[in-house]
Amino acid sequence: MIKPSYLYIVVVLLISSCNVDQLDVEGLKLSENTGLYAFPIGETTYQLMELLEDADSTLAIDTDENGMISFSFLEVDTIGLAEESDEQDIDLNLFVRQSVDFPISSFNIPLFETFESGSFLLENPELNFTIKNELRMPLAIGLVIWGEKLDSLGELDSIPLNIYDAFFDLSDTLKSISNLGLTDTAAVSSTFITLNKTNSDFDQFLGKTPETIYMKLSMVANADLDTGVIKVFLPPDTIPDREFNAGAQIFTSMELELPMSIDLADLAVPVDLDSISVDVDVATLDSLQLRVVTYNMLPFGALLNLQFLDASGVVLYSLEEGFQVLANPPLNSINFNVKEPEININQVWLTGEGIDALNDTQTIKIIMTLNTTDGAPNIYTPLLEDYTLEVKISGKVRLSYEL
Amino acid sequence: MKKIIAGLYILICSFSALAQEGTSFYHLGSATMQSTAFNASYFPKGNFFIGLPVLSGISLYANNRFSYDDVVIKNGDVNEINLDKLVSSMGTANSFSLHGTVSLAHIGFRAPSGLGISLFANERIATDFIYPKEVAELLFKGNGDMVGEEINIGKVGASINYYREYGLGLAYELGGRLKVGARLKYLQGFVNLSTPHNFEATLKTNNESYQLEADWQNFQLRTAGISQFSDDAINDEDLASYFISNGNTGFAIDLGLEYKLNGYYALALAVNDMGYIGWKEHVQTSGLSDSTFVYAGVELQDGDIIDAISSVSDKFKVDTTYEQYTSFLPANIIGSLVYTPLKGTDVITTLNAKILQGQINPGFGLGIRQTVSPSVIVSASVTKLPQQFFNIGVGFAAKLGPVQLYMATDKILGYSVPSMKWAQVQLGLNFVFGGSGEDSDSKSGKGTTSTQGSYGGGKGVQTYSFHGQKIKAKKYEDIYTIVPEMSKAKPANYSNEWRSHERFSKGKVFINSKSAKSNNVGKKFKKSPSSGADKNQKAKKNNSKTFSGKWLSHENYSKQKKGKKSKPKKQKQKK
Repeated sequence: MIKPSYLYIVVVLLISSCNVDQLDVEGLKLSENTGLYAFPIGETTYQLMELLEDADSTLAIDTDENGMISFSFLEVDTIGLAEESDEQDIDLNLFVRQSVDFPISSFNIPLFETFESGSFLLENPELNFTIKNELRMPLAIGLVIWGEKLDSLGELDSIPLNIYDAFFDLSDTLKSISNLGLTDTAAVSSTFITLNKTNSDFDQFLGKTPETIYMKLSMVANADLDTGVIKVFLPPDTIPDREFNAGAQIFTSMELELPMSIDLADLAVPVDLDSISVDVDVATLDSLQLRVVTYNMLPFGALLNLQFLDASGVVLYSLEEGFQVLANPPLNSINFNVKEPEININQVWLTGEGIDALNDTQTIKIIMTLNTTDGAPNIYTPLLEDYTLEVKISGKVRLSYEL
Repeated sequence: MKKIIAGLYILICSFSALAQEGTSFYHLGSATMQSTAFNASYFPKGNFFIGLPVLSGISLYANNRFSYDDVVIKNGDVNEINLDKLVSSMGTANSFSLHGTVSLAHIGFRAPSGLGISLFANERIATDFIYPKEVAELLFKGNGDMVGEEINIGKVGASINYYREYGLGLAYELGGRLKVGARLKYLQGFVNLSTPHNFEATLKTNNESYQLEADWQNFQLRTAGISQFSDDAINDEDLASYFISNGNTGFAIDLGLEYKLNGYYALALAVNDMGYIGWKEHVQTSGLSDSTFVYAGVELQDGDIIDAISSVSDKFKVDTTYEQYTSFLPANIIGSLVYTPLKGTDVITTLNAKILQGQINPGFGLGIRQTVSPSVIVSASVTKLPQQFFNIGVGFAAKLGPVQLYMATDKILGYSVPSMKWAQVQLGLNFVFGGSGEDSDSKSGKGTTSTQGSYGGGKGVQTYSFHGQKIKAKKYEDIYTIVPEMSKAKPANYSNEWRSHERFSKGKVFINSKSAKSNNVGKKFKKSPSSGADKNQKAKKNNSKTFSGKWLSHENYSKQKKGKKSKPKKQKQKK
């Protein structure tokens, strides 16, 4: 039989473990919830060739036998010297040194518009001129080249091209061009002129990434004569060595050659994402993480920075420092092929100020700062057509919200 | 040592993650007809059984992982459900269960051959919703802290079954050591809401780029018998007809056995609710096509967010079909080891496993059963029910004349509504005729282990074994079974010791059949100076030795004991 004392214990336990509390369900609601959500934003694989094609449709893009990419630009012009001289009241029938100026020509390099600052050094840029001259009188050209670039404040910076004296062969920084003699039966006389980094600072000039290049060309007739000296031919005492054949023309072609063997130093490439409207209630955002994963087969590394701009372009928020999104991959020292992609995973958290700034943000400015060869100076790296970059962007957000 | 204890604790807790309700009732053994629902071989003592609608049995069970107090905090005048608390209160595997059984009727009797036969009908509702904590964390706390982990959404399952079972129960004792039973059930389904047992789904947030990787098969929610409630064309008569009979039918079977290992130990094993219902009427299945997909965001070069979203949303396009389907009942397995250390006392260890949505959920219980009197059996158990700490439960079955009352609960402590996570109770009233006041086998004394009740000893049984010979009952008088006079010839193999009891075979022999095991008889003579309990015990031991090598059934053992010491006096008294 069960002892009564056991029953007492059971009863006491039973009673002590019970109470008459009621459920208070009035006004019952869910409390504010906090969740951390990770999600992919997007991904893509960039082909360098395609990137460059998209970046500049003005320049022709081509590859050499090694797959190295090069840009080129060709401009052909025909100069009617007689017309220009007439407009400038210059009588070319008078054999005296006199200069005919031509309108300033210019061309844009959109690729350079994508660069905000830093250095983009090309190993062997060239500007080649081919001049085919029908005139039968000595000529020389005067050449002034400069570039312009909008600085970060929106003002134009003028960038001069310094042509070294070695380039010129005549006084007054003139470069002579060949001409036909009076007895020559050929139709034209051709002259080839090359501007490069040996006779100018053309590489440094381009390294400053001018968005527009201007060229002022003047043609000096009778450049072999001293200034003010008039040469007169009085047959038969003197036999003429020149004449002004008024119908003659000068055909010029200018070709910009930019082989993409480059040295990038802190080259800033900004990308603006405009018309940003944040649909979420940022008050629910506690923090936001941006995560970038790259499989880099480009021969350069990159830092990324972010700026949030309002409608007036005022920077509302900027990351304190950039975070690495591209790591320099190892390159084959001979053919510069990327041995294997360099995987880089990095993320940055936006907190407080950055999230508040999202309210008024109209533009998110992404600034990539590119460097080749991990900062080693003056080592040029060819850009090969098969270089790729795989990018995966994702986010993580901590939300506080009411269900 | 501490490590061993800690290991055992973890083992028990893990085994008990989703145990099964009603252990305290189960530990009453074969006290009631309802016991056959746990082990089909647990046919109770008695000759004839009747259960009336509702009165004969109601079983309720509710179990949730968390209580009101676990998740609600008071913030000023506002009561808030705090999701952080909600999630932290969860275990690795969680469930919400609400089970109910209402007995519609039962009738049972024991055939002359000893076969126990019952017919029964029950109304049953079983609601189970299982979900792993990681899915709740994903829903409420996001995937941000689960990057790189594969979340098994396939462990989420829902099963709501409302059905009626009509059954035939059979139970029989073979050779005195083995009891077997089976219950065949025809099922009439009314309402079902379930996910397929083969539903599989995983979701992973890639730890590199956070891309979402998911795949699923059989991602469906199936319903039957629900759509009609929103169908205006269906009137009350249709509904009434539906709940009487419809095309949603199925079958199930319960199998049980009990095997006596020796005088102290017995094993019981049962497999219940192995069956299915084929749902044909008012069915609707909504689900997603089997799919594997990776969402990596938009294509950054000229990608269109709308295209990206629509490509994803296409994967989540819900298809609805109206084809019949089959749902399986949540089958369960119960195994017990019964140890009888003392007269009238059984210690039962129970392991069980419930198969829910294709997942096996084991459980554990330890209990003691005490036969207080021939009419009263009580049990106390410690169980580890799903998601709960160890619980203390009690049960009893008592008989007042032909009326048998029973009630059991797995929970006797902690009744506070705000902190209550679960409750379980089973109670009812049966009418039992014949074989009244029988106690458990163990009451007969040490060395007669079984799980409450020894059919084959009831008055309705007309064939008995007496000294190894089958004899037929002549008539019954109260607790006695009168058999024809037996021959004085002694079996050749009877020992001298046995022959010393020869005097009990003189004249008309009375065999206290089923009740012969009862202490109702034994008690009277225990107190008799001429019979003495000690002598009885000695005799019992002697007899055990005499029949060593041959298992001594409880029934025979009791007969020998009574016949040797008690019967003659009782016989005289009756006369």
